[in-house]
Amino acid sequence: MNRNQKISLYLVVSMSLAGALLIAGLATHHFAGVSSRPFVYVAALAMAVGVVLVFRTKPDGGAVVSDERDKLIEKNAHLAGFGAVYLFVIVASFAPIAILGENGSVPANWCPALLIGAGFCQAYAQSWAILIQYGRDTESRRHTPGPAAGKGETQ
Amino acid sequence: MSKLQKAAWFNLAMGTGCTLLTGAFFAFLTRTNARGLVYVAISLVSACVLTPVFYMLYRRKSLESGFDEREKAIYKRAFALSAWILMVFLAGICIVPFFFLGGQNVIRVYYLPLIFLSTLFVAQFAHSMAILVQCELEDDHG
Repeated sequence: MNRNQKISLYLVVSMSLAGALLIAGLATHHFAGVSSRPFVYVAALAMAVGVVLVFRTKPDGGAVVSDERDKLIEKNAHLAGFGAVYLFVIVASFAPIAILGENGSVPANWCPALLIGAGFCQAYAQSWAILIQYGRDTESRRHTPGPAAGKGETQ
Repeated sequence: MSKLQKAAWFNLAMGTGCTLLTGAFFAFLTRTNARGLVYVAISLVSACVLTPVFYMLYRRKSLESGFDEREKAIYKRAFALSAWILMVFLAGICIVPFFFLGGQNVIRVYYLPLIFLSTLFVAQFAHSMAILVQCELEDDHG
């Protein structure tokens, strides 16, 4: 597992955990009337642990750190992140008009929240794209016969 | 004029023209207090989502495949620059109203699509301008 994969794994796990905790907090607050603060604190802790792990990930050793395949995966992951942000901003921009109507208004806090949400969305989608692409690549290599197998068949 | 420059000029002209026309159209509708703006917003969202989806599904080959090495380098630098400008602009346009109005105030819902559309326009404008300026600079230096 290379550095990009490790960072993506830490981000995906911590953000998924934080998201699940926030949803659980909202659900318990809505249905049971219990304060959602403990959930929010644990979600923040999960995110903080994820970020610390990302910063503590050491660079890969060896002469060749990344090859053409890694660069292509990184490029596709950036595109996936950009696509996710694009969709997120569309939804966050137009959903209030659909929900609140033409003359509605939203708190000014919505704007920085949109920016922070876009950042999270980018990191989450990019991490998933990196993990999926490396996973798919490893799977295809496992199923491809090696040079020795090919040689044996021809003989 | 190379294919890259033609594409940049086309994008710049179309992007600027469409944005000005759309802005004028929306300003007129808002001024006359026209009803049914929700339907316009729905059409806009559909266009914004479906256009990239159809482009990705039905494109024969990528835009970059017709470029030479120099044009590919220019295109890549312009894309990186426009991505940076997009990020800075989005951050600015999201944070400025928050600081001016304060967290307790409210903004009209029309401001949000304005954020999205202006960000798209700025990114497109920066990308086309970066390509044109780089091509011009390289032509000057021979």
